[in-house]
Amino acid sequence: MSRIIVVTSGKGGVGKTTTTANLGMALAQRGHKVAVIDADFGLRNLDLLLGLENRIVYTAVEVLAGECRLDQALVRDKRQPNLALLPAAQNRTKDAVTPDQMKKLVGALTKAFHFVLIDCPAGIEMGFQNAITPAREAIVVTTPEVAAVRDADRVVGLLEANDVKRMYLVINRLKPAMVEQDMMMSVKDVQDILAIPLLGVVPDDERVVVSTNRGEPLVLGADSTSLAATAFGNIVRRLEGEKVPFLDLNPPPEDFFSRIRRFFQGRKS
Amino acid sequence: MLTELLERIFSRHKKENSRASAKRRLQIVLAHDRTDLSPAVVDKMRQEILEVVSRYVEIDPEESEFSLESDQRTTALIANLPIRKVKDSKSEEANNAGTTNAAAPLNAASEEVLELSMDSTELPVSTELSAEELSVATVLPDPPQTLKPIDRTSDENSTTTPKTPQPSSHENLPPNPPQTP
Repeated sequence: MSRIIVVTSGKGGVGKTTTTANLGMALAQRGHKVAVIDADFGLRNLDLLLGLENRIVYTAVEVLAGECRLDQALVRDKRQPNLALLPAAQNRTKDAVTPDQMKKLVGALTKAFHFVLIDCPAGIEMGFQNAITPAREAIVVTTPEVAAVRDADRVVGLLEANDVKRMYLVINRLKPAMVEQDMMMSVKDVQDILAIPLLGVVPDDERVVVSTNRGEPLVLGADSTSLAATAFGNIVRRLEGEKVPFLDLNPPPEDFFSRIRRFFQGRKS
Repeated sequence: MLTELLERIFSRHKKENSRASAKRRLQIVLAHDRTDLSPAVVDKMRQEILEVVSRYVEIDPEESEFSLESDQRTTALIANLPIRKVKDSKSEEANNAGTTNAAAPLNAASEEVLELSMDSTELPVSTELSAEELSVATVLPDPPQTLKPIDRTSDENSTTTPKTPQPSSHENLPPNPPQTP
């Protein structure tokens, strides 16, 4: 049976789309047939992060209107044939589709794909409802910041209420050096608060920006050895059920002089 | 510069680091988010609980803590109410009940209070007023009304019983008023 996973967060800008793009690509690389759905009608970006923006002909809206077949709307990735994108319409709003229609779309996709990843829009309104209704599992993405964690908690509650019982936590953009200095919440802090199983920790990485500039997910490009790319790879293996130890993200121990320097500069806490 | 340095050496643990405050603040705000209780309701609940508890024991309103806490996705209402002393009025009232009511067990104290207030002449007004006053008290800072029934009963108590219960039941009064915002 195929797995239908929604990637959601509540707050915007924490890395839902980046996570969807990278997990979709990494799953495809490991031989699964993967469909990624952009559920962010009106503000689509998954196409851009995957570098498929110029190949969109039809979108989910046309499929639902019966103006084209589902496979005509799917954009297959030439770099990784196991991956296909179902784009959202950019000129419509979140009300262009209903939860039932999304369910129908996803149901049709499960006939041809092992994994269906749904990139959820920010917020908890109609677009959120549309994205989570067809899902059986959820990846909740958050960053170690108060606003993101609070919103993630709200989303966890809503997912529970909507019968999406299997939830996993991905903590994105962690800065180990800041955690070390007690200037940022740690993985354990966030986990304590949200209390859902941890699926992965992705360190803050400038190369994520570079990869989005190019439209090449981290796991695909030349940077696939970066720590963030490894983290995404590990998440995929954990999704497959493998037990993978969490990355050691601790920064190399500070040398004596930098510690002295920091002490004199004062702790910014 | 030098004083700053000295300060840092000797008082490093004074200020909570931002990581800890982030976690602490989140835990509090999430407890409220999850229960979906408005601050007014929580405050009303606090007042009512204090009122009930102070019927039995004397509590210290300044030291009392009352908060919602979340752990592992379950939310708990934590009330930390240090007991100054167990009210001896309980036994007094039990004695008192003994005079009016033949078989009165320990918990007769609370029943006694209720009964006495019901005996009072302006009953319907006073009970309704106190109920209303409670909800208003969360907004308006004139809470003494909420305790009126107890106050009256204690007065009536004092008429029927020796002098001793009066101070204790009057000490019992202060816990509430300072608590209300």
